[in-house]
Amino acid sequence: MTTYILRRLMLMVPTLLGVLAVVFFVMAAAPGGVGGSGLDLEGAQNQDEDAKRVQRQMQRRYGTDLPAYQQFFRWMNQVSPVGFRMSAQVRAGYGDADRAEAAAALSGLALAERDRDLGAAVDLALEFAAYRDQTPGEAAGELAGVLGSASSAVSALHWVDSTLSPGDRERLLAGLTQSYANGLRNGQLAAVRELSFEAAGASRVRFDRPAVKMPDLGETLKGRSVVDRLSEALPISILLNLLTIPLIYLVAIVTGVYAARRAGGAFDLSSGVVLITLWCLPTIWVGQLMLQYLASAQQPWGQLFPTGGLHSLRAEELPFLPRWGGEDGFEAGWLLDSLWHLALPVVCLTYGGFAVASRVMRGSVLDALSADYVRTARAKGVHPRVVLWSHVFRNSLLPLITMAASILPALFAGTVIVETIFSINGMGKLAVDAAFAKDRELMMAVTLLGGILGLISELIRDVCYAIADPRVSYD
Amino acid sequence: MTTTATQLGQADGGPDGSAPDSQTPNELREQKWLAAVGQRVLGQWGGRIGLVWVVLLSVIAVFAPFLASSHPLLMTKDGVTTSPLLEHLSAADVVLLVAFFAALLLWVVGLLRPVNAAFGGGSRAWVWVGVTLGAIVVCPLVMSPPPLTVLSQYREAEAAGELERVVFTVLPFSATDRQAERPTRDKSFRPPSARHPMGTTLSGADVMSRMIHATRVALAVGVIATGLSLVIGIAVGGMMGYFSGVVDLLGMRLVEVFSAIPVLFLLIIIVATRDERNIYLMMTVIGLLSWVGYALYIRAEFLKLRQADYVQAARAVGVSVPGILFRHLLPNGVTPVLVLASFGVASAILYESTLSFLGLGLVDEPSWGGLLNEARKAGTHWGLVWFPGLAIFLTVFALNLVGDALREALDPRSVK
Repeated sequence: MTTYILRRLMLMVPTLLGVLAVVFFVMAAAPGGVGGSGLDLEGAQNQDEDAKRVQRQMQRRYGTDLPAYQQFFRWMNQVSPVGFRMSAQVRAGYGDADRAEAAAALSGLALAERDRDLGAAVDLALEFAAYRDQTPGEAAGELAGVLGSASSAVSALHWVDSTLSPGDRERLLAGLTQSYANGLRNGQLAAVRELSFEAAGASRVRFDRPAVKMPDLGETLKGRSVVDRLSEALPISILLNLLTIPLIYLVAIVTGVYAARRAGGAFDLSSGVVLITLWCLPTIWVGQLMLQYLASAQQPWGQLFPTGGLHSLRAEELPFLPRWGGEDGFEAGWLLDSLWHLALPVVCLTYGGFAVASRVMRGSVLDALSADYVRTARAKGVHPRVVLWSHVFRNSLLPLITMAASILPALFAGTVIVETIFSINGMGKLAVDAAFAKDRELMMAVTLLGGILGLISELIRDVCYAIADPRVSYD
Repeated sequence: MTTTATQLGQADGGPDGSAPDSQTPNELREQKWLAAVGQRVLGQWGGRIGLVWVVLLSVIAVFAPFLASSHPLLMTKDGVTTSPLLEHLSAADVVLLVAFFAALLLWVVGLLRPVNAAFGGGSRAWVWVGVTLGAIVVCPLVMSPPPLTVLSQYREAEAAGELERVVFTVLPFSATDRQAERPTRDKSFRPPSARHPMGTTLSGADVMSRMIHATRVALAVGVIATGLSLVIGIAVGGMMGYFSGVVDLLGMRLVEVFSAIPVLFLLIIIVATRDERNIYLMMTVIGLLSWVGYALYIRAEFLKLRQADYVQAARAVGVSVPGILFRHLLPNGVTPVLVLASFGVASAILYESTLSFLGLGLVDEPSWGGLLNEARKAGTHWGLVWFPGLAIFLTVFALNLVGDALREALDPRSVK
């Protein structure tokens, strides 16, 4: 079994890569690229100052000036815990006047030949120090030797990238002068590395030095950490799924078993009609109906449920459990308040799933009921209830386990719709918002998470399959 | 019903000697079998109801301009009688009409016994495909409908008494008719009334008219997207099943990748990141993303069939690979996929309406999901949540019923 799980885990890697690549290149092919900005009304590249600044920012942050496949490798490298450190090459794009000044300012640079331009020289110097496996002391010596003195370094950096915003330049200069002052101790080496990366007008990526590093999901378009956004949204989606999945199975098992026990009876027929109807009901419609009839103050029966969100505005002040007393008599408490908010979304997520699951359960119970061992058990006088629950029931659970893997992706699609309708800030809404904003890092992170969850749930299904059915073996 | 399912599974099994007239035994058997399946589908209540609804929708879709249009059917002005409706028919309208009437004609022709004997069902289908494709090519070239007109001009002319005679369609509003002639130009929903049986949208377009014209979008997306995914699924699955080995291994990875991506999510990404949305993009994307089920099914069938005696025999005789694939494997392996395709149409329609509901649908084109989206706005009326919702539900329901009936009809175990 362990070998099997290991092999499956390894097979997941190419699949996951494929998923990520598909989503990435679909987004890369979109007009306007990340953020979709920088296009004017005719769809041409906007050339005014604001647009240029945004464009440069995107290039620095996401490497959008690179070809799509390099961007993809850059992203992969950034996310992967094992990968290459990224280095930067300062773009060589200076005018003649600049070059003359640069040459003058950098005359002290030992490594730079006379015909090299300033950008290349600084880049070389920084990389030289930061990217060799040298002790911090050696690196400091090298860099100091190359740049001559701190003042010439600062004046050199002044020309590193005139496209940097004032704030960035400030940080860059401060970081570098400080690193000089401190003699490039270990910590500052990282700072120089990062600064040299920032200094690059465009993020030309060179994959240097393999390393084990912290995976980094990047920043959203608005500059927040992607991990932050995910850690806000994920618990909400997990909560929804934790409520939905057991509910689906509970209803499905109960209705399925009872429908099968009296197959062809009134309950079987009526539940069959109801379930196929439920299955076909589009979530968008049901959600909208619920909002309009159960969560609208304009109906004669008043507003029975909240229109959206997960908590009331004053949920923070509420006690956890309901209690009597207080200002308005009965106080609902945090728990009831949450359940009250969750009721409609959970119903919306559940009904389609249990409609399918219940039919599957009915079919497999029917199959099991006609099996030989059931006839034998009946013949030897086992109580019908025992036959049903301990002989038939356990044997008919297999298809439901198989179904779990198809329920999970369906639930993901469900949460996209339900969370949008009921304005719940879970993963589904995050995905839709990210798609609308063309926020690449956020979308990739959602895809990564969704892909991993989906693949792992498939693996868990197969493992459960083997546990539930002794005949199934993967070895 | 004399044909049994085991016979059905082997159309190439050899002549059974009972073939009359000019038809080859295979053709006859296929026809008999199709008729048997059709009868079995129609023999079930579910299939009957589902098919009636689908046919009704198709008729509505084909005749949409004649059911709801702001252009009058007939108009007499200054003694000259014209038909603005016919003048303003678009190429798509005409193609649909041609396809519809060609199908009707060929069906009627098929009922005549002598013609049927000489002119088999298969060739009639090809004639229909040819006529339709011809119409698709010719109509946009030949036709030049007048540029966009002011849709309210006819109503205004009628109100001013300039027209001697005017005959409107049953519902005298086009889907994009915003009825700007009204004195109050306030933006507001109007609830269902005698003038607007299903009310209006926020911008003043008639909901019923939009519902009617939206059947086109729904059916077109459903059918064409499913057709595309069928083609891809059959191609990929067939190659995997027939060649197995490395092709199978690579194909399975592809299948895994596409089944690990939530379709709706990728759809949203693709549609949201494109500035320009049109129905073709939507069809293509839905088609490109939902072929996995068909591929797996065909692969399993082909893996089974390639060991069958008649395939081995064909290979031994030296039939080429395309010959084996298209003449022997495909006709025998493809029918069960039709069941899946019927569910596929339903889910493609659901995808389209979900996208429109999320505000990612076609711009200005009517769509059921788009109408449901209107129901989210403030000041909406009950018609906007009930009618489009019911339409989506009934269509999905009908297609599922048809799919179920097809499955029953094709299931050898259910043959009595």
